[in-house]
Amino acid sequence: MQIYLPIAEMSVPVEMIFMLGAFVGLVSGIFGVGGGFLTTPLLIFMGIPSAIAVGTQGSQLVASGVSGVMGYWRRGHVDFMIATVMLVGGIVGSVIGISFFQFIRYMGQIDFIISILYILLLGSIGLMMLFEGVLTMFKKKTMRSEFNRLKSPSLLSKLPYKMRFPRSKLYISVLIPGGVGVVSGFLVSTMGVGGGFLLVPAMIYIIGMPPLLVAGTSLFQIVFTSAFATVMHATISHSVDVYLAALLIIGGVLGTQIGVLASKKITGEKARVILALIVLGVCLQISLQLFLTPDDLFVMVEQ
Amino acid sequence: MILRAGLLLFIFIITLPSIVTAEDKLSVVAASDHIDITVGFTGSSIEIFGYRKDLETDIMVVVEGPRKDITIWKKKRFFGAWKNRYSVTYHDIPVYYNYAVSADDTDGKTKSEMDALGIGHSALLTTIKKKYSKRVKNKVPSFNNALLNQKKEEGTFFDEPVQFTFFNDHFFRLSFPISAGSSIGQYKVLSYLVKGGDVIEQEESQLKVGQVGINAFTNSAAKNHSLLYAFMCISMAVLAGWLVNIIKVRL
Repeated sequence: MQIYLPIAEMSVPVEMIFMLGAFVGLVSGIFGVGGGFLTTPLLIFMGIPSAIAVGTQGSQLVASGVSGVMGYWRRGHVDFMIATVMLVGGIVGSVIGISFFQFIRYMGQIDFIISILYILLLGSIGLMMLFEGVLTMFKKKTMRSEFNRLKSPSLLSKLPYKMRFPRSKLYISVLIPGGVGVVSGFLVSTMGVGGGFLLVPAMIYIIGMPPLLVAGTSLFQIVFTSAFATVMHATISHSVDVYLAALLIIGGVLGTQIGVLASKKITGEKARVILALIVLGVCLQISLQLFLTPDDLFVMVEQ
Repeated sequence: MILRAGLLLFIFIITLPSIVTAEDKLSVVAASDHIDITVGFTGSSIEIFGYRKDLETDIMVVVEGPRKDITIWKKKRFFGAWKNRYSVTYHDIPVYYNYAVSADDTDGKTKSEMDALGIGHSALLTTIKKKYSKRVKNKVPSFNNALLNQKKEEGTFFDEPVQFTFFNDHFFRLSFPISAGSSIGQYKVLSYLVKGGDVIEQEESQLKVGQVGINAFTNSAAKNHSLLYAFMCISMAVLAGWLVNIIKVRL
C-alpha cells in the first residue's frame, strides 16, 4: 500500500517505512539505544531525500528519548542541572548544525558530507564497541572498571566559569557539559542522531559524571535538543514530514515491545558485539555507496 | 479505466457544443481544471479533449508543469569518494514537460516547426537559461542528456510524445500521464494549430495539480504555520514516547 508524503511530495510503501520503524524499535528495545544512526541512513537507502530523512528523524528521537527518560526520571537518575547546561550547549550546537546543514544543501554536497560524517562516527564507535565487546567476552575483568577511575584531563579542570553540580558531586567549568551539548546538538541537526553512544562516554570520561546518572541525563538533554532541532528544521528548511514520522514512530512502538522481550534473553557482552556489528554493517553500506563507482555519475537537485 | 474514459467522453460530448462555436478553428479543453493528490495517490493523468475545424491543419499540444531551478551535478572522485563536482543549473525549467503532435513527421517539416515554436526536449533546453561551473562549458550536452534521463526516470519527462486518439476527423483526445513524483502547482496546457508552417491559432489554459484533504492541510500547515506544525510533530512524538514507556513498564 502506497502513501503520499505531503512534505516529501512522493509516494512510499507504507509497509516498508513501518518495517523500518519496527526494526529500529527492535534494535532500540534490545540494546537500549535511540536508533537514529540506523533510521536516517536506511531512509536514505529507500530513496527518501537526505534533508527529509534528517529533518524528520528529530521527532522520532523525541519519542524514543521520552520513553527512555521517564524510567530514569522516576528513579531519580537525572541530573537536571547538568542537563540544563548541556541543553543550552545543545541549542547552540543545533543552530550551528542547521546553518551548516543549509550551507551544504546550498552547495549541493549534503549527501557527500552526511555520508562522510556517518562513516567517521559509525566506523569509530562500531570498532570501539566491537573491540571492547570481544575483549569483555574473553576476559572476566571488564574494561569499564578501569576507565571509571579516569579523571577529567587537567587542561579541562583549568577552564573558567566553574559551577557546582551537587547531584553529580562535581565542581567543573560549565563549558565542559556545554561543549558536550554543542556536539550533541550538532549531531541531531546534521545527521538526525541523538548521539547517545557518543554522549555517554563523553559524560563519564570528560565531564566525570557518576555512571548511574549518565543515561537519564543524556536522554533528558537529547529530548529537548531533538525537539529544538525539529522546530528549526520545520521552520527553516520545511523538511519535517509528519506522516513519515508517524509511521516510523508507530513501527518503533511495536518493535520496541518485541525488543524489550528479546533483550531478556541476550547477555550484555553479546548484545554489545551484535550492536557493534549492526553499526559497522551500516557504516560499510554507506562506504560502499560513497566509494564504489555509481551507476549514474549525474545527480539531479530540484530547488 | 474504461468506465472513467467513457464518462469523460460523455462529459466532453455534453460540454463541447457550449465551448466550440462556428468561428473556432481550434478548441482544446482539459476534462478537469484540477488533479487531486490524496493520501493514496500513485499517479493520474491529464485528460484533454479537442476539436479542429480544418482537416488540413496540424495540432500541437504541450503540457508544462510549474517552472523551477534544477541543478545537474556530475560526480568526480575526491580521495577515492564520489563527490558532486561540476554542475549546470537550469533556470526556470518546467518540472513536468510532455507534448503531442498530430502530424506524421515523414519529411522532417514538423520537426522544424516544433523547433521554431520551442516544442520538444531539445528545443526546450535551448530556450532555458543556464549557469554552469568552470570547465563545463563544452560539456553542457552531456548534462542536458543527464537532465532528460533523470526526468524520464522520475516520470516527469517522456521518451515518446503522447499519441492523438481521433474520434472522427475533427474531435480528438489526449491523455498526459502524471506520476506520483510530479511536482504540485499550476500546469499549463498550450495548444497550437499549424497550417503550412504558420501558427494560425493558439490557446492557453491552466489546471492545478495539488494536494487535497488532510494532505493539503498538512502541507499548508508545514509551510504557512511551521512553528505550530513543529509543535504538533513534537506533541505526537512525546505522546508516542510516553506510550512506549507504559508498554516497557508493563512488560
